[in-house]
Amino acid sequence: MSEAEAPVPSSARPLFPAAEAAVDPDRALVDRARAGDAGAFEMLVRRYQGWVFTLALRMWGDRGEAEDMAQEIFLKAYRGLKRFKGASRFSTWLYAIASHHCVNQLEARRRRPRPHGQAGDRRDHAKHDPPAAVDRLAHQAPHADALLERMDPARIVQAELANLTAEHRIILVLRDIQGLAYEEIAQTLRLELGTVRSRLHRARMEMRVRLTPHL
Amino acid sequence: MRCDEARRVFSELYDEALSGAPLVTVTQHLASCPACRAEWANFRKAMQAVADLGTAEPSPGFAARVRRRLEAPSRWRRVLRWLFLPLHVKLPIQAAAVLLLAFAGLLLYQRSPELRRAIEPSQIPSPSVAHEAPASAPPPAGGEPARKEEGPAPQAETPKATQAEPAAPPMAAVPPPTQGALEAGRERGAPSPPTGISELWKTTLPSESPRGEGSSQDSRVKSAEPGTAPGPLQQYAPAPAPSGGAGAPAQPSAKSLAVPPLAPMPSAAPAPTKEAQTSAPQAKPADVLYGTGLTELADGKFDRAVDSFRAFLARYPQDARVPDARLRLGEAYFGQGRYAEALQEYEAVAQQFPSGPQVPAALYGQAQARLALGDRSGCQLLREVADLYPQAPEAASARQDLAARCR
Repeated sequence: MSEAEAPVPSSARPLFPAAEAAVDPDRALVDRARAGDAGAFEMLVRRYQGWVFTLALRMWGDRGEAEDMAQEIFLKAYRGLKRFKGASRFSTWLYAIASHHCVNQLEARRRRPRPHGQAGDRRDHAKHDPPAAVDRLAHQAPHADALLERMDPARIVQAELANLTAEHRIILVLRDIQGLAYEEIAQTLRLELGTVRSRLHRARMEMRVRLTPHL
Repeated sequence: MRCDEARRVFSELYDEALSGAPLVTVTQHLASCPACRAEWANFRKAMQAVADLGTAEPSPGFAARVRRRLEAPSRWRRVLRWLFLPLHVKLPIQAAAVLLLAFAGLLLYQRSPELRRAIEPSQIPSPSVAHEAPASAPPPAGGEPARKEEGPAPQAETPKATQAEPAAPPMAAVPPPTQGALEAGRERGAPSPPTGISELWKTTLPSESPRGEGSSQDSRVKSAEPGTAPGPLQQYAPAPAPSGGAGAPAQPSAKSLAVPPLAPMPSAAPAPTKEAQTSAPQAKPADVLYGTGLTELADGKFDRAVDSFRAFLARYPQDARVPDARLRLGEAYFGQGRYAEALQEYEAVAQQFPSGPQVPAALYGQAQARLALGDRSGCQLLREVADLYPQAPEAASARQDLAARCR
């Protein structure tokens, strides 16, 4: 993710028009939670825990880590509630927090040295050389697939998803699993619409290359 | 439409975001191109596989766990609670602890001259200044001409006149520069002196440089106008003392003490050490010998210090630093544990130089030596030091010793 596209807290500027925020179904709970009502925030957690957990799970691939990540996301949101001015929907604000948190944590993990042979090496190459990545990964895919032959399809897809760069993975998850519209993705990740389109296309083509041997 | 152009819009085609002419064009191309059709089929399958991952739910109780974490106090808050709660119990304890620490620090500060000097280093005269001080004795307060430091004294010179000369530096309230040298000597691994000697050193060493003349003496020289300057002991006496050596206050300790004979001096005095010679190449032999003794005393080499001071006293009996040299000799004896000889030297100083500035130190040394010998009359001497010379540095030590050892 380039510097210009780097995610920033959604509270920095309104993501959605005020008219959309006016019909925010979470408004009452948010107000109560902001006033210190932990019960109200728990209601919000129940409402969005599936969405946040799914995002974390697809980004990380491990249920335990995903649950920890989801907890951190909700804690972060709770602590940031005072800065939430209601200029956008709470859900959009929460999606932005969740997306940025996941991407930042993945980037942080990528920067940390890891034991030799772990998944992620190819992902690193792809990040630094995106145009050639798809072709190169098409040849590398069978090596990884050999290890995944005995796995069920969902695990294969999840494993290949984990080989995408964080910026490709998040956009694929937001669109093809979470079902957000292009505009919502653009606002959540604070990207231009054209950037969303092109990046989503590259992510999908890379996944097509990776998954074709299994189809 | 070319194949690469068709494949470039697969993503939008999959999202049904194409319409109009682009949609017709790509549809026609797919209908006519088997390769792109197969590619498109694979693309759709792959995207369907991703979508089939679907959503997931966290384990039961997730929301409650989040709430518990929300309501759990943060780490710093837990630390604060542990430190201060309950307030009515912990605050008084902490206040008492702070007061106790402050009191202990104050007590330590008051009872430790080293600490005091470390905190107030500006009060310590610089040794380098002391080295630069002139070696000649200042003119006496009574207007008598200064005599030479070494060489035979005039026959007509009476002991009284010698005593009247403020040849030796006074027992200044300013800590002596040799204190630092003494402590440095101890830090260098010099043997620790017997009980009592260290306290004695803290208070009795007059301000002298190894070359014999201290900066405090310099300052006294500047202020000593013939005929107008007070006697050297006036600064310690509770009441104004008559100026001049003849009118010096009587020494209460000396009246009851027999005049001790000066210990026999070695016929051949040890030569000044090489170190002393190199450190003071321009110094006179008397200066070198005296400075050597001071250095040895500071280094805890009491045996050698005894030899040096005895040699100095034998060679230069008319030197202005004779009273100080005897005082030092007493200290060196004390350091050796030879309290009887130390007592003799202290008594000699107090008796032979009753108006000298060394008297408080000599009396204090006597008291220490007597107490070391088990003689309780040392307590009386301590009281005299405290009462008669309240401004002398030894007075504070005497009062502490009285409280500690004479109850």
